[in-house]
Formats: sequence, structure tokens, C-alpha cells
Amino acid sequence: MIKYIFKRFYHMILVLFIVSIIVFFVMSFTGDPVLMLVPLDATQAQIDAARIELGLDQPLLVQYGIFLKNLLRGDLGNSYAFKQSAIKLIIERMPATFELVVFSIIISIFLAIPLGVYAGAYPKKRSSKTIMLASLLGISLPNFWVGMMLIFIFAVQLQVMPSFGRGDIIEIVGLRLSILTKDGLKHLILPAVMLSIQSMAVLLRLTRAGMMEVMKQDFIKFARAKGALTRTILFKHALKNVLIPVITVFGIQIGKIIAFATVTETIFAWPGMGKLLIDSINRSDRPVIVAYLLVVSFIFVCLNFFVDLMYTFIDPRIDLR
Amino acid sequence: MRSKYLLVFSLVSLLILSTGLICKAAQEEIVIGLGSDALYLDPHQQNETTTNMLVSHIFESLVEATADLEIVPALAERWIRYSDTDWIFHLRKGVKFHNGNDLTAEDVKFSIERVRTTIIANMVAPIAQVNIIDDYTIEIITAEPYAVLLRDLRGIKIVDKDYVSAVGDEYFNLNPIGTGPYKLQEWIKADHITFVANQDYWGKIPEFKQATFKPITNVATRTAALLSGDVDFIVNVPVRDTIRIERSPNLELIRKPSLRLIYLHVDGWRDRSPTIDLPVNPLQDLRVRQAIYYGINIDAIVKSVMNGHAYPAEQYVQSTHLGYLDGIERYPYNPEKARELLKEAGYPDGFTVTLDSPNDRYVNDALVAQAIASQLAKIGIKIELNLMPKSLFFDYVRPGDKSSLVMSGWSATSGGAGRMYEVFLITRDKYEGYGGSNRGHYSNSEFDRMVLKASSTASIEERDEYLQEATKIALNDLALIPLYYQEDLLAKKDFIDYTPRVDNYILAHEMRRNK
Amino acid sequence: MTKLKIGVLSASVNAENKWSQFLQSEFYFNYKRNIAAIAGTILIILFLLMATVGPLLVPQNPYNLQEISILDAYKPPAWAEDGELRYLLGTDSQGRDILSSIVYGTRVSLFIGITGMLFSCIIGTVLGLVAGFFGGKIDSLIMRIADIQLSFPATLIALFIMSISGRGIVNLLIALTLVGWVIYARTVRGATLAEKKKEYIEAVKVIGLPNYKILFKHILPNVFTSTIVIATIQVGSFVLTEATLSFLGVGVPVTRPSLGLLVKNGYDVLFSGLWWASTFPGLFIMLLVFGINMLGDFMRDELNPRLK
Repeated sequence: MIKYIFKRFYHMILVLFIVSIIVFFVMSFTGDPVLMLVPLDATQAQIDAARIELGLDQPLLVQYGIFLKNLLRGDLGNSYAFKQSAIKLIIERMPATFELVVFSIIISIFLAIPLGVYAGAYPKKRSSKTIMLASLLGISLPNFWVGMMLIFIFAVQLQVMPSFGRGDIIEIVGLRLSILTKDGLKHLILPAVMLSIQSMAVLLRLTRAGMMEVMKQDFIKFARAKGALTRTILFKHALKNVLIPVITVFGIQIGKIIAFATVTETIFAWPGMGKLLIDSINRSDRPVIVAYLLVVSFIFVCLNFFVDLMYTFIDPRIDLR
Repeated sequence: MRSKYLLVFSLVSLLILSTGLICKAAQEEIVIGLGSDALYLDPHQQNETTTNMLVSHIFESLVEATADLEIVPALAERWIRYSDTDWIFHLRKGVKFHNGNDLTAEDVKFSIERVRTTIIANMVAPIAQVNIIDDYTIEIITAEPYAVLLRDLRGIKIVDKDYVSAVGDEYFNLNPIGTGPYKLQEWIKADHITFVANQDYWGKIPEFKQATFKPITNVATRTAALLSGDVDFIVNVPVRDTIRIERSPNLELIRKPSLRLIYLHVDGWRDRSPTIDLPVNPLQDLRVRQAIYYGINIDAIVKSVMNGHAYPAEQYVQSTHLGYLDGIERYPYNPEKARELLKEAGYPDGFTVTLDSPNDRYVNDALVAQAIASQLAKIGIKIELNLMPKSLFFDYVRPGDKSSLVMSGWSATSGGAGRMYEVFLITRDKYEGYGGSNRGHYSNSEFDRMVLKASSTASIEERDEYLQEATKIALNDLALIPLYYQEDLLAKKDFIDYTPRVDNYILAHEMRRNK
Repeated sequence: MTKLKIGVLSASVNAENKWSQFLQSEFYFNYKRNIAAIAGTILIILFLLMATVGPLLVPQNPYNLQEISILDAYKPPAWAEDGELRYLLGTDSQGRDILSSIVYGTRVSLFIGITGMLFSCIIGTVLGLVAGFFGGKIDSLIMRIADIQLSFPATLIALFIMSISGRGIVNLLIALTLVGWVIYARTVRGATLAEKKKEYIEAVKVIGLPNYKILFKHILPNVFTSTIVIATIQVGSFVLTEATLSFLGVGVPVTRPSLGLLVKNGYDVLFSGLWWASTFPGLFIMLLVFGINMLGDFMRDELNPRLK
């Protein structure tokens, strides 16, 4: 087990290293950031001075060497636009994104599991079929379009929901959260709904498929024959057996939600790290893009690591190799 | 039966999630929706409009400008110009930084020297020497006679030497201390920046005790936020939203002609043009440039793309500016004449050419470029559009080697056509520091002579004369094809009284409460 | 012997026979009773028709600058006040007919979705076959790359690729192929491994058939069903990915708008009340992907229960 963990850990570092190389070198071939920073009427001398100040006059390999050395110290360079540590900028925005992601996950779990259990338990019912079709529609919806429509209907036409931003924020143990204020919660709902639709549909289908398998099994038939309450059968016996694969697959789903948060944050002007990424792409703010990708890669790699561990932990049949 | 509960449970949890209450803002506070956030709050970083505007709440300069850009005393109470190069500034006494430190000549010298070490060092380049005479008197000597020193000083915010030296640049960037009418209360990047009134301010204490600026990048969301009451004031109202705002009972739209000219650079002074697959460059022929001018229906663009919120331009600066010529008129839209001119020039079937344009820099820029392409198609000039975000655009067009037609904008904030001509139209690579963005490779030695003469004279009247002469030459050559001036659109709630500024800064301390 | 038998079999099955076989199959029996699958098929056929012959039927070619006039900009749909019958679903900022733009945009979206799928499918299948058949270093290299890539969401990888390579149809296809091949490679590799162990492969190996012939003639047809299910669903997901990228401004060029870019173009004026320019293209994306998913879902259930 320990050996396996070490192996996975080594693998993690390797992946991050490869990502850092790809990201850094590829970014170096994109537009010249210096010309973005100097005024329109700057002379060549000013442009050169700016280039030296940003360290962009060094050869690429030297730039990567400096970058890697700093990376090990947790310093991914300063944002061209903000003149601040890029990694700090990302970390600063992280709570907003995580709040959104977590809230979306909660919404999808609270809706998808009961609906999935229902649809799996009574697959022949018309309502189940409707639920399944709706979930298919959920997967087919263009995410960004849903967000636009939500704003258009609830914020612009009905004016019952705020259209952008996070609302009131309170700070709790250094984390700035909006979920705990009434205003903040209200701001959170539309983006979270938009973000949760896809994962809700996926989760629902997964739960249903698992339920259908389990319901065929003997112990359920046995419990039924014994005359146990339907609710007890569904939630105590069946769901328990379904939940394990669902949770592990959901780990991967979190990664997708984080990725799609970039779109949601852009539409709702949600000040998270996804919006920072899109803004930085538009600004050619290379250090921030690099930092975002490395931070997100780190999150994903950790996530996969834990999902793998969990999987092996839960199901001892899995070969550790 | 039980199954029904599951459905109900699901629906109830959705309902619980979607409840909420509406909060109301107090009158002491004002919330302003901007197009972007500040990048930093250290006033000596790069030169970025929104950032400059926001730091102007916290920091002040020796001189400031009124809404009409008239220079007025600020931290300097008065000044005397002893010679062409020698200026003495007398500082206002009793001015305190937000941390209680007194403003002295040391701070002014420190601030100017600090700018020298940054990316905007060119702003202080003309200043040769800064001498402290006493605590409240400072002497600035320029290397050469420099008439617009005061205008430049406006851009140099004064910081507290002791504070900056003590806390370091990075901390200062996030915790700025200045002398301005507002203090920073909180800055959550990309969400809001909140200022509170500085009760010890030397001037008039702002009427609104708290001012919050929110970056709302999406133009349409900004309007929605104003309509729903989330914000009290917005900038850059989308042109399609103006009617809705005008119809809303508690809202008011402010329209103001902008200084920003949108125009076309034409690559008409090289034998070959990079995007035209012909042995000769058709744009070299004045008749072809005229045909393009005749072929653009600017009124239709103003009406349909800008929803009426723009003004057709007939030359390069407005009547308030040096270099403006009386009696110039736009070529009227005349596709027949355009086709005729093309035929005369030897291009009866037109030709294909690429138009470079940004798509996120000016109001509806991509739409205007598309409209131009569609209009020119009707006279036979086939336009390939090359639309880029501004992050790539300026990089792409700067050397001028890849472009034949470029749509771009220029805001003549310095009060004359001079700077624009120096940057865009003086012959490339001929005079140090001039013509660096001459994307059309325009070259006319008489024009160059006029502009250089205008730059070196101290007399406003002479300068105007030379620049007018230059305008005449450039218009005859069609060095640039003028399109239109933008209109600045602001919207606010009725309770705010605000006079828009020529430089487009939105300053909370200039807002009053309507009685 | 075996070789001969297979050869004879495949030659004797002519198209007509196959069709009648298909009509009697369980697959077709279930299909007839599955409303969603039929609806999906109809939607797909409609969209394919729209993309192929649609341009002949619509009133305007939105790419032809001669035909459009900016003076017709932002006309509402025909049934609304100020609407005109020739602009059934209204017009956009340049006076382009929305319905015509949707027809042309569907073409772009479907072209990208299908071509991207084909590239991914070919590259992924070949790599999967190679990895599964030869095993060893090649296998672990390919699968290691696949593993690493699978730990990142496809949309994010594509977004990153597009943000550095710039918008453009070729770049999009490259980005989609780079994120799309993995799933084929994995599935095909698994199927190949399973197939490789079977007797008949051992047999053809013994008679000295070259590797490539074994791969393409004997193994490939057996992994075909799982591939076709993935391919169907992937077209839908690529259409969505392309739309998302175009919405973020890193997708197709503005001169050839896909459905996603049409939504983005309309987004700028949606909150100003000009709702038609973005609502209709979005609806069409949804219908297209929904149709593909309805059919794909059915096919997955029928052909490949393992993938559920």
C-alpha cells in the first residue's frame, strides 16, 4: 500500500513537471506581452527597457530555468497586468470558485440522487422516463446559453435575481464567503444552477444505472418479500450499494465542474479563478495563465490521486500493481 | 405512494435554494458599475485608464484638471515659471496623508524619482532635476523648454515617502496611502473596490461617504445591474440600451461626444501591400483611397451599428483642438462615384484586401469592421476581415509590415492633432521618436516639416497654424480615412448630480446629491 | 482454413441480405419501439438536410456581403411588431437573416463536429489497435499519455490549445482531435486485448498473415460497434465544445460563424431586449445535440451495455 502511494505520488510530480514544460514553452510562442504594456506612442528604447524589466530579453531556456527555480519556491512569477505574484492572485480567487463549485455539487447531489434512485427503482414508469429524457436534455444543453437565459429571464425580465457578482461577503477564518449572507446566497443561486445542470444529469444517470443493477439482486428481492418499507429498501439497502461507484466517479466530475466554472464565471462576472483565466487570456497575461494551469493541474492530479486511493480502499479487488 | 415523496422532496429542495430577499442601499453610499477593474493601486505602475481613474480617488498630483481639462492647483498651491526650463512649485500647507503624515517637498521629489524606475519612466523623462528648496517649495528643471510640463505632472501622483519606503512596493500596491478625498476601505479583485470619504481632506469632503466601484465586464449585464438597482451609475452604456434607460422613470442617460476618432489606416505609400495579391499596390492611387472613402456609408453605420450614438468625422480632430480646419466636409456616400473612381484607376473589378481591426477595444468595433466590409463589397473591393482581441491587435499592427487596411482609434486628449500626427503620420524611421505607429507608411516631407515645426514651437497660435497646414496636406492625401467620433454614454440614477469629464474619468468626489 | 471461411462469409453477404437481416434484428425491433431514438434520428436527418440542402432554401446567403444590408439590422422575428416575413426569425447586427445564419452555422458546427470526430476516431483507433496488439513499450507510452490527458477535462485542454493557437477552423480540429482520440484508444485497446486472446486470431497468426492485415481485417471489424457508439455521442459533445470555445472567443473565425458564435454575437444585445439573435441559435444547438444524444443513448444501451 505504502509503495503504491509512493508510486502514485511520483507519478503526480512527473505529470506536473510535464505540464509545466508544455505550458511554459507553448506560452512563449504567443503574442509579445511587452507591446501590451507600453503606451501606443512608446519608442523602441522604451519597449526594450520594458522587455528587460520583465526578464523577457533572456533566452527561452534561461527563462524556463528561472521559472522552474521559482516554481519550487511556490513563486510562479508576477502578473504583467497586476504586478503581483500570479499564484497569489489565483489563490485569492480560489474561495469564490470553490464556493461556486461546492454549492453546485450540493445542488446536483440533492436533486440527482433522489431522482436517480426513483428512476432506477421504477424504470418502467412514465415519470422515470421523463426524468431520463430530461437528464439527456441536460447533457445536451449548451452551458453558456443556459446561463444567458437564466440572467435574461430572472435578472433582466423578472428582476428577481441579481445579474452578476458575488454580493455581500463575510470573512470566516480567512476565507471570504458569500454563501453565508442572504445577499450572497442570492447571487450564488443562478450561477450554481447553471453549473450544476451537467453534473446533475451525469450523476442522475449513474445513480439510476446503479440502482437498476442493484434492484435485480437477491437481497433486495428478499427484503421486499420480508415486507420492508419501500423507502427503507431504496435508501437503506439499495442506495448504499450504489453510492460507492457514484462517489468515485463524481470525483472526476468535480474536475469538469471546475473547468466549466470558467464559462459560468465569465457570464456571471463571478470573481473566481476561472474568470481570471479568461481575462488573462484576453490580456496575454502569461504568468497568470501558467499559474492557473499549474494550480488547476495540481488540483486535478490530487483529485485523481484521492479517487484512486478511495477506489482501492473501498473495493479491495482492485489490483494495486 | 412513497415515490411521490421523492419527487416532492426534490422540488422542495429546489425551492429552498431559490428564495432570497432584496436589500436596499443607503443614500450615503454610491455604487458605480465600471467596465473593468483596477489592475493595481500603486499609482506608479503602468499607464492604464481605469486604474488611473481609480487611484485618482486616493492620490493627488501637484496639479489636477477640471472636467474641461483645465489645469488647476492641487497639492501645489501655486507655481512660477522662472525661465523656459525652470519651474518653482509652492506646496499646499497642512495637507496630510491618510496615515497622518504631512505632505512635504521630500515626498514630491521621492515620487518623481520613483516613477523613473518604472515602466512609465517616459512620463518624467523631460524632467532633468528636482531640487528641494524648503519643506514646501520645490524646483523642477526640464532638460529642454517643455511647454506641457503641467499636463505631465498631472499624471504623477504623490506618495508618502516614509510609508512607501517602510512597507515596500508589494504591500503598498494593495494598501495604498495618499492624500486624496477618499481612502481605500476594501479591494476584492474583480468584485469591488470600496472607498470611504477622507474626513481630514484639505478640500471639499465628498458628499457620498462611501463609494464602491464594481467591474462588470459584460456590457449588457451592466445595464441589467442598473435597471435592477444593484448599482447607481454605469459607464459605457451599450448603444442598444439607451432607449430603455431613457424610458425608465428614475434613470438618466448622459450623452457626451467623445474625443475618440475611429479611422482607417491605408497602406498607400509602398509599392506592394502585404495583403493585396497584385504586382502594384492599388492603394497608392489616390483615386482608390477616395473610392474607399466614397464607398463607406457612415450614416448607415452610425444609425444601425451605433444606434445613433456616434458622430461622422470629416477630419482628424474636433473643432476644440489645435489643427482643426474650418469648412471641411465628409465625402458623401456615393457608391457609383466610388466604382467610377476604381474604374478610372484601372480596377473596374476591384481587388481583395485584408482589414485588420480589434474586436474588444472600441464600441462595437467588430460590427463596424464587418459593416465596412459589406459596404466596400458593394463597390467591388472584397474585404477579408482579420479581427483580433486588443491583446493581439496592437502587437500585430505596430510594425505595419503585415497590414494594408487597419481600423483603429485615437483619443486626442492633449488638446491638439500634434501627438496623433507625430505617432501615426510622420515618415517612419526618419526622425527619432516619430512615426512609430505609422501603419500606413504615409510619407510626405511637407507634412513632416509642418508637424515638426508645430512640435518645436512654444506659441499656441503658431502651433495651430502649422497643424492646420498639416491637416490640409493629410486630408488631400487621404493619409487616414476618418470614420466617426464615438459618443460616451453614461447612465445614473436621478439622485446623483454629475457633470461628465472630457477625459472620461468617473470621480466619486465630483458627484453630488440632487436636492 | 479459417481464412478461407471468413473470406467466403464476407463475400457472400450482399447488401440486400444485410438489410433484411437488420430489419429482423433485435436492434431494429427495439429501435421501432423507442420513441426517443426515432425522434433523435429524425432530428439528425433534419439537421443533416439543413446543412446540405438548407442553403438552397433559405432567403439569404449570410456570407455574401453583397446580399446583406446593415440598414436591416436587428429586425425582430416575423410575428413580432416591426417584424418582416422575409426575416422569419429576425436579423442580427449586420442585417443578416437569423434563420439563414442558423442554416449556414449548422453547416459549420456539424462540419467541425463530424470532421473532428473522424480525425479523433481514426487516430485513436489506430493507436488503440497498435497499443493493444503489440503491447510492451508502445502500449505503456500511449496509455501513459492517455492517462495524463484524461486527468484533465477536455474542454480545458481545448481552451488552452485554442487560446494559444488562435481562432480558426483548422486549429479547432487540431484541438478537438488532441482531446478526442483518447477515448477511442482506450476502448479499442481493451477490445483488442480481449480479441487478441481468441482462437481465430491465434490461427491467422499461425498461418503467417502480416500484422497489419490481422489488425485491420480481423480485429478492427470486431471493435467497430463500440467505436460507432462513441463516435455518435462524440459528434454531439464536439458540437457543444466548439460552441463553448466560440462563445469564449477562441473558436471559429467571425466570418464563418458556427451556431455557438451566433449565440455569442447575439449575447451582446440579449439583455437589451434583442433576444432573438441569441435565443434561436442556442435552441438549435440544443436540438441538434439532443437529437444526437437520444440516438446515441439508445445505441449505447443496445450495442454496448458495458459502456453504460
